[in-house]
Parts: sequence; C-alpha cells; structure tokens
Amino acid sequence: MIDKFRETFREEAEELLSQLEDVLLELETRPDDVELINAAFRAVHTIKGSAGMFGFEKAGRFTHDLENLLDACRSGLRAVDSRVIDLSLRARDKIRAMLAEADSSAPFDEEAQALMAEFRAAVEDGSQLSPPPGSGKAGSVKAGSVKAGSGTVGATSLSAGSGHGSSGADTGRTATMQPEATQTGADKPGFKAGTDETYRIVFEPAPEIFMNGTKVLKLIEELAELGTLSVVPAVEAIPPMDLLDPERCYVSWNAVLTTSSGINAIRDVFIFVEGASRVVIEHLDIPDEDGGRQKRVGEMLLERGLVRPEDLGEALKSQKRLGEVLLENKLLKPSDLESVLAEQAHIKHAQEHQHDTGAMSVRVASVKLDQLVDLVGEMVTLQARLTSSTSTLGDTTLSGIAEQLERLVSQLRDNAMSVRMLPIGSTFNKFRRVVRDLSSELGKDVELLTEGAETELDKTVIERLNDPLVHIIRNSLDHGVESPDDRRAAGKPPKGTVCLKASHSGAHVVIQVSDDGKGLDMDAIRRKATERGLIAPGEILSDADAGLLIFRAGFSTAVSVTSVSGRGVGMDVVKREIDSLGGTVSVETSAGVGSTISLQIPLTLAIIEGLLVRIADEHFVLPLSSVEACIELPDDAGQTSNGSRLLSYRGDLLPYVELRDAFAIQGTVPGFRQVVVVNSQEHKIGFVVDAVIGDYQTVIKPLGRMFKDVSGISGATILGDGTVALIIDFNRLAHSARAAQARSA
Amino acid sequence: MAKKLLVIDDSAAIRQSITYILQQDGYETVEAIDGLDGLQKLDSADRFDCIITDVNMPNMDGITFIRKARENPKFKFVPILVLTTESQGTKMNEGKEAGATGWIVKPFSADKLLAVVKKVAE
Amino acid sequence: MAEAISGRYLTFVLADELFAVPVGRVEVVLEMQRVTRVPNALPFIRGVTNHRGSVIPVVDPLLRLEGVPVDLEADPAIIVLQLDFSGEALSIGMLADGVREVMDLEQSMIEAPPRLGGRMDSRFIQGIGKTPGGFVVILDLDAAFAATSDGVAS
Repeated sequence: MIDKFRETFREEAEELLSQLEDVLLELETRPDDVELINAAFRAVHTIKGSAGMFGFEKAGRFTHDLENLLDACRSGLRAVDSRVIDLSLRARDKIRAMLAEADSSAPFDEEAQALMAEFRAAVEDGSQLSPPPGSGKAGSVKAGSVKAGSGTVGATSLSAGSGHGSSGADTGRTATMQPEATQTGADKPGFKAGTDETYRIVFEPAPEIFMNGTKVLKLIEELAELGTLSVVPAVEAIPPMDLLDPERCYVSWNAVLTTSSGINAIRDVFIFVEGASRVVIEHLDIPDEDGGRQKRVGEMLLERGLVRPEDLGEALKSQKRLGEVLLENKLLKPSDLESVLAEQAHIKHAQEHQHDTGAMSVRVASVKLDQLVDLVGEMVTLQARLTSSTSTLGDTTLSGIAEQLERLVSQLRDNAMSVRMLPIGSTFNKFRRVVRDLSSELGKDVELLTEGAETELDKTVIERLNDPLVHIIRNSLDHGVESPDDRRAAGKPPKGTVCLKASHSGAHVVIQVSDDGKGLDMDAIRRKATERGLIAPGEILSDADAGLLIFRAGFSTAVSVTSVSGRGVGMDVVKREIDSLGGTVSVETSAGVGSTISLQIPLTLAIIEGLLVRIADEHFVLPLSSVEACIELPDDAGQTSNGSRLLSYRGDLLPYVELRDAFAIQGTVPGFRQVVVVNSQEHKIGFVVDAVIGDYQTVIKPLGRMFKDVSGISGATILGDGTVALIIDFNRLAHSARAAQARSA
Repeated sequence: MAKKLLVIDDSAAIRQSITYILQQDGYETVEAIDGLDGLQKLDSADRFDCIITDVNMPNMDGITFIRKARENPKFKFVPILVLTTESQGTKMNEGKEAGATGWIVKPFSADKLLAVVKKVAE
Repeated sequence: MAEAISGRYLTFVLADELFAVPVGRVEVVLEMQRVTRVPNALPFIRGVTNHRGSVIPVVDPLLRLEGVPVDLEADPAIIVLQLDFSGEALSIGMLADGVREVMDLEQSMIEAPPRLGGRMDSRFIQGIGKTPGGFVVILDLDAAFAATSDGVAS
C-alpha cells in the first residue's frame, strides 16, 4: 500500500520472525505451554495482518495458512507436535525469504506450495499420530486428549468462526476489501446491479447504542446517501423528561429506500451495529404501474402485524378514514401508521420513477401539455371554490369529499407540472455554437463549460431564458474574456473559459454564467453611471449594486462600440426579461479574475404558492417564496423629511410601499394595517396592505398583451369565488421605490 | 477544526501508515504504541474525535484499553475503531462488548480506512 | 380601415344608442360579473374578468368612443369577442348596457361613417347601418381595442 513504510514493516517482521523462532524452539521442549502457543500465534498473526498492506501479498497469503494451523493448536483442536513445530520453523524461514524477495507478484514456488498443502493437511489431520511424509522425526506427541472425530468438527467450526475469511483466503487481498458478495434471499434472481430496488428497513438501535460511540443519526444520513429515502422515526418510547436517561436511545426508525447500490450497501451501513441493534432489511416488490395494484393501508398494516384482523374489520366499518379510527381507538401507534403511509407514498413515487426511467416514453405535442396544465389550473381554481363553498355550508360529508378531491387535485397538479419540466441541458448545447462563432469573430479563444445540464425547469421558462442567456454569454465573451495576447500578458492561459452552471435552490433554479476574464471595471461603471445621470454624483454604491448598473437601459462602458454588445443594448433586455419571469439578477466580479452573473428563476410560471392580501375590496397575491414576514404596520412608520417611507423592523429601518397609493385604490384606510416584508433582489422591502388573508395556491394567468405596459402587476389568478386577483410584481415596485428613495436622498 | 484521532498499534509500520493516510486527508493524529501508552495519551489530551486501536499488543491489549477508555467520561461516547483481521470474528464481538464502535479489517486500503473513519467519526 | 360588409350582426345598446358587431366575432354574452380593476392600465380597459378559467380584459366601448364610462352598477352585459391583435386572436370582454338582437345587414344598408362631427370618435366606427328601426353604429373592434397604447390600434 504505502512503499515508504515497507522497510519499517520488513524490519518489524524480521524481529517478529526471530522471536517466532525462539518461541517455536522453546515450544518444542514445553508443548503444553499455552503462553508460548499464544505468542507464536500472535507473531504470525501480526505478520499476516500487515504483510498485504506493504506489498507482501504473497507472504501474507502464505502466512494465513500457517496462522490457521497455529490457531487450531491455540484453541486445542490440534496438538502441538513435532510436525507442527517442524512445519512452523520451515514456514518461518520461507516467510523470511519471501520478505526479502523484491517481486511479490511472482507465483508461489514449489516449496511454498508444498508447505501450504501441509499446513492444511495438518489442520485437517488434527491429532493424527503418523508423521508427515518426508519428515524423519516423530518427536513428542500430544494427541491423546483429542478424539479423532473432533478434527473434522474443528475444521468446520474454524471456517465458520472466521466468517468471510474462507473466501478471503482463496482470493487474497481483494476479497477482504469488498463487502461480502453473498447473494441473499432478498435479492431476486434477475437482480442486476445498477437497477433501482426498494427495501424496507427497520432499525431499532440497542438502548445503550450511544455507549460505544455510535452516532445513530449518521447511519440514517448514510442510508439517505444511497438513494431515495423515506424515513419515519418511532418516538412513542421516549419517556417523560424526568424519566429520560439522555445516554439511552429511545427512538427507532422505519425507512423505505430505493437504491441502485444493492442490499449489501445497506448492510454495510449497519455493519457495526448489527447484533446488538435490530436491523431488518426486506426487499419490496414495486408493482408496475399498469400491472400491479397499490396495496391499501389496511393490507399493509395486517402484513406487518401492526393491527389484528378483527380490529381492522371493525375499523373498516366506520365511515371515517381507517388510520384515524385505529388511532382514536388506540389500536395502532401513530408512528406505525405514519410509517405505513410513508411507505405507500414512497412506493408510489418509486413506481412513477420506474415509469420515468423505463424504456417506455411517449412524445406529446407541447401544446397538449399546455392544455393539460391549463385544465389542471382550472380544476385547482374550481377546487378552491368548492372548498370555500363547503366550509360555508357546513355539511361534513360534503367537506370530506371536498378534502379528498383537494388532495387528488394537488397530486394531479404536481404531476401535470412535472410533465412540463425539462432539463435545461438542451438549451446549453445551443450556446456552444454561440461561443464558437463569436470567439472566432472576436479573435478570442474561449471554451464553454457547462454544469448541471440535468437541472429541470418548466419548459416555458426554459424557452424564455434563451435570449437573456445569449445576451449574457455574448457580453462575457465581448467584455469579459480578454484577447489571447492580453491574457498571456496577465499571466493567464491564452484560452479563456465561460462556465454555464444550473442548480436547484428551493423553489428556484440558479443559473450562473461565469468567465475568467478581466472582471467588471467598477470605477468605470460608476463614472459612466454618473455621467449618464443614472446615479447622483458622490452617491456611494456597493459593488453588487454598481454591477447591476450594467443592466440599466443605455448603459455601456465598452471603449469601442462593437457589433456584438457594445451598444449597451441587450443587458437591459436581460433584466427586463428575468424580471418578467419573476426572477432576479445579481453580479459578482473580481478585477482580473472574472465575473459571475447569477439568475435566480422560479421553477415554474404556471402555479406558485402565493400569499393572498386585501386592500379595500381588492385582492392581490404576492409570491410566498419571497415573503419573509407579515407584521403590523407600526405607529412610528411614516414619511421621512426627504419623502421616503421607512418603518422600523428588527432593529433596522425598512423602506416600504403604500400599495394603496401605488395602485390608486379608493376607500377609507382602516386603523390597523399589515406590512408584508418581502426579499427583493437582496433587499428587504415592506408592502402595506389592509389585511393578510393567507396562503393561496396561485394558478398564474398571463394578463395578456393589452397590459404589456402595466407596471407593478405581473399576472393574475382566479380566486375561489371566481373573481380575479392580481399578482404583484414586487421586484418592479421595490425597484421603483428604491430609485425614488435614491433620487430624494 | 481538523478532526483529531488517536492511533494505537505496537507495529510502527501499521501505526505510521495509518497516520500517514489520515494526515493526507487532513486529519490530525496522535500515536500510541500500546494500550497503556494510549491511556496516557487520553489523559493528556482534551479531546479525540476518534480512536483507532489494534487488539493484540504488549503491556495492555486493545480490548482492555477500550474498557478503560470508556470509564473516562471524556471519552465515553468517542467512536473507537478496532484494528482486526478477518480471522478474528470473536475479537470483533469482544471489542464491541468492551465498547468499540466498529472495526477495520486488516489488510485494508487507504480508501477503506478513510471510509470507515468517515463513517463513524464525522 | 376595414369596410363593413353584409352579414349577420349582433346589436347592443350603449347610452341609448344602438351598436352592432359581426356575429362571427362574438363568443358568448355574459351577465355582469366581477371585474377586477388593473392599476395603471389603458384608460378604456375597465379591468379583467374570469372567462372559463382564463383572465380576459374587459373594455369599455363608451369610454373609447365618447369618453364616458359604462355604469358597472347598472348591471351591464359583457360581450365576449374575438379580437385580431396584430394577427393573433385575443378574447376580450366588452361592456354593453344591453344586448338586443341578431340582424342581417345588406351591403346596401351600410353607409360609410361620417368623417367629422358627432360625439363619437369616428376612427373606431366601421359604418352606419340603416334599418327600418333606425340607425345602428357598426363598431370597428380591432381599431378600437387592439391597442397597446392610447393611440389607434397597432
């Protein structure tokens, strides 16, 4: 393994071998001395254990057989006789010779092979008195106490005791490196490595598991790393605080794991805790979506023996949901129910995934998908109406149905949305061509790297990202990456790189375009912005804010106007398009090192989680993912002398927008009002509303081309009562508010 | 902060190669030549994130070391790995009973060692 | 400007005057329903409403023609129409004080709109139909409403 320790090992082994020689010679005169036998065994054992690690595999394998023989003697299964002593001494010399050999990969010579055969024979022979062929001496014999038959027993128990040692001896070093390759009953015939299989795992740690340094949660994390994991902890056994012993583990876990790593990988996770802790790993059959039927909760509970059949029958008679009835009557532990439900959901998901990755796929015209999503959107809307109507009617049967329908509709929605998700990689490929053509046009040498091509986004979002990304990449090539000569002069490789990277971040996808060019010239940008009146003279801007200036209309710092991007046309288009997608743009740059432009885009444009608010009798929606808090409008909020509106929020002054003014809404202003605090492009801003109504599944409807120039509104949605509410373009409003503040400052 | 490990083995070759592998991967290591030395190293250190110990050692063997280490409240819950060979199934159990967290089977590769250390110590 | 041609027309009332639009353009006539105001929209757009799950703009022809809004409190009808918006079909809702009947207009019954005079903006009028019951003003829908700015249609 590590050559630098090879010599150290050889010296150690040398020492051990001379000790072994002394011990063996003494043993010849005192064959009953247990200590001597142990010492001999230890020396051999140490050599065997380490030899393989320092490039003496051959010596290691050879020593293994000698060790077996000495082990048999040590455990009294074989008498220490002259044959053992003789063999051991010869073996010792052989090992010494092997350690001196330069090449450990050469096959065993005849002598070694003969010795190894004799070790094995000597173990098998057990107590047999007959001297080995070729051995002239028949020294002292100590076989009388061991019966002839026990030799076989000894051999059997030896191999059993050594566990996977038997295979290790045959295949040498490699076998011990890998987990057991034993096929188990759980692995079905036809199981192929690399295909996804689903397992149910029950892990009940021994209560004292912490006492040996095991980190239990780490095991669960390890499981999660193997694939898709659904895990439910059973916490019922946790005693009340005063009885709780913090050094004991009271929690057990039920998990369902879909993994391509195979059952042995799961076993490996629990390798150190098996035995003391209960670990059950069962293979689960995932029926085909079309072929098999999803098991019902009742069925699964019975199968696992969690409820008695008669209790189940009784519970099924009730009109309510099975789980609720069983829980109410204390016939089932909450965690058991949760675990069964989690397993059901997991299997369902695995089924869908099976379908995803299966050979079967269908091409569908994208317009049909759009229609599907539209229809689902209408259903979500109608569902909201149904829910609000049933709650006023107060009919429990109807409410129950409405609830079930709601669950179905939300699943349907998720499904429909997922069908529209596409990997962004297809777009990435188009940019290779852009980079190739443009770099030759500009006389630059630029390579495009991509990362996260598999990141999925709603297809309409992907389509609309195309133009902005082309602009950004063009800009990077034109203004960022230097010419090969300039790069050489700056001590950089002549070939520049532009990296296009996509990744998920919550309900958003972050797309980054970075180059290793010269970075943005912040001073030039500030100077230019001042010249153009975009910022007031002397106005202090952070680098991040100054970077954003390149997205302002009519801004360009290129010394020469090029046909590519020097006219300052383009980057403002990027900003506008990303805004309209509900996304944000940010810039990071480091002089001489490069720049990164990051776009944060919502995953989908079709349905979002919204926060419904009201001003007078008009309803509006804010995207919930951007909402940080809802607070009461404090009394001290108000206009400062320079006209900007500020309120105190968590010890800071927070700018806020009076939506009533921004949207010219009539009506009396109520005494108590609320402020929705929103994160907008790394700034916080408050929006004053009359009341916050709550979460709302918002199916986004475009306002259409007649509202092209409307600012402050990004779309519409249909509420439960069929009326239309508008979605607030908070980024735009926040931006105007900041601009107004900057002007008056 | 780098994880700190105590490596106990009477074989200098094994001990040094383990510390070498661990150090290459950014771990901090302390060596001890047997169980007795190991206990002394425990006394003089404020913390160890993991302990790796051989079983067969002169003066004090690994199993006794583990028992004594667990008596020290400071190291009650520290992961302890036993260096063992495949033919020592009983040693694994003895080790576990004494309070070992897991084991590393000799001979092992650098990858295997790091994987096991990572499994219990991070 | 497109010339009015013979065909079937739907007639409706705005401020006591009779107007007509080609039946082929009409999708459906809705009873008055909630119209949501859109801040900062073009003045003749009264807002948006829900039509079969889509959000459609609701335009006020009276405001466009005479600068006077239709009274929403008086329960006007909403005529859902197809608009030609730079070559693309777009559904809009148009307010009307009341919907009358479907009638046939022959080419001979249609006269060109008056060039000047009158309260109405003649740019949005396709022609005047003369019927036994009186005059009927044929609206030029695309000119009146397919606009993105305050001026005439794009």
